[in-house]
Amino acid sequence: MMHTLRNARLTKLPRLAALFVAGLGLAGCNYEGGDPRKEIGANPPLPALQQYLVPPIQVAKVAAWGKDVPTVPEGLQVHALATGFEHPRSLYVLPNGDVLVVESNGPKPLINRPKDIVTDWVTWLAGAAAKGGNRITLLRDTNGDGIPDQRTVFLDHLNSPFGVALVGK
Amino acid sequence: MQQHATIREASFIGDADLRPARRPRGRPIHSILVSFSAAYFAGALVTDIVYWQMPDVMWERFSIWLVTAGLIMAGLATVAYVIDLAGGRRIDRPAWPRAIGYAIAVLLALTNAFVHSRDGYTAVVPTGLMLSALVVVVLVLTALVARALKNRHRLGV
Repeated sequence: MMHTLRNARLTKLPRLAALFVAGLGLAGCNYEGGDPRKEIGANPPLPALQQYLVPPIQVAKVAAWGKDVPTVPEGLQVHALATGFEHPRSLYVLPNGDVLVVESNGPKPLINRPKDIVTDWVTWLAGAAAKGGNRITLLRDTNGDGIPDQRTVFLDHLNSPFGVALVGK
Repeated sequence: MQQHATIREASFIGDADLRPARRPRGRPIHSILVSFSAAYFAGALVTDIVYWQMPDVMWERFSIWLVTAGLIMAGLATVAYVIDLAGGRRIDRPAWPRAIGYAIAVLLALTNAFVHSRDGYTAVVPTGLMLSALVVVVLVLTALVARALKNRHRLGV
């Protein structure tokens, strides 16, 4: 499910989305660090090897959006641009405001070790085992009301598409 | 002379008394499954030694699959054993030392499976290799002790 800022100019969307994602990424890291001068030189102190019997993992609980929406400044509102995708993975906003939604998931990984069965199960718990649509959907909002009035399959029968780039104009 | 013959006859009766009660239909299933798991664990020790000497990740994967297969067989053996117990099969005296020794070996093998699930060389060397060897040592000792106890029991010492 995607959200957009109503009344915001569509050209600003990618930048806003990028800022939002970057903020999330930074919030996930915790650089308590030490003296940065120790990180250079011939003998930087390396962390000790940690071996686990069961590695400490925490699986985020999968929850639907429901009625919860991000808090936004006065005069703006957040609503779903489109829903009902098959594992949407990445977005690309074209210069004319059209949005390409890449519906994709990785191919089923090989099971090389018994651990991989457990890994698959944990991945499934985290909601990442859903089948990808293997296609790119195009959303077009012709009247600028923030609700796309055209939704078409742009490319179909792909094999785990990942990135999208616009070549030429 | 007469007395000697009587004793021999008595010990024959003792044997004849044990056998039909314990083995009405050949070997119990759990015992067959235990043999399978022991073979898998021994195989894991071999592939561990090979990996230690020749670090090709294929051998490490052999090891973890062998340990896993041994654990699955051990689980099936436990189920079969419980069914045998519930079915009222007579458990002879050396069964408990054997069961305890086997349980220790299986717990060690379970730890070994987690150690073998680590990534890279340290999945085997040195902890995994030592655990694999320990499992085999415990299994061999258990078999020896069980056999000694069984013989003592049969001889009536």
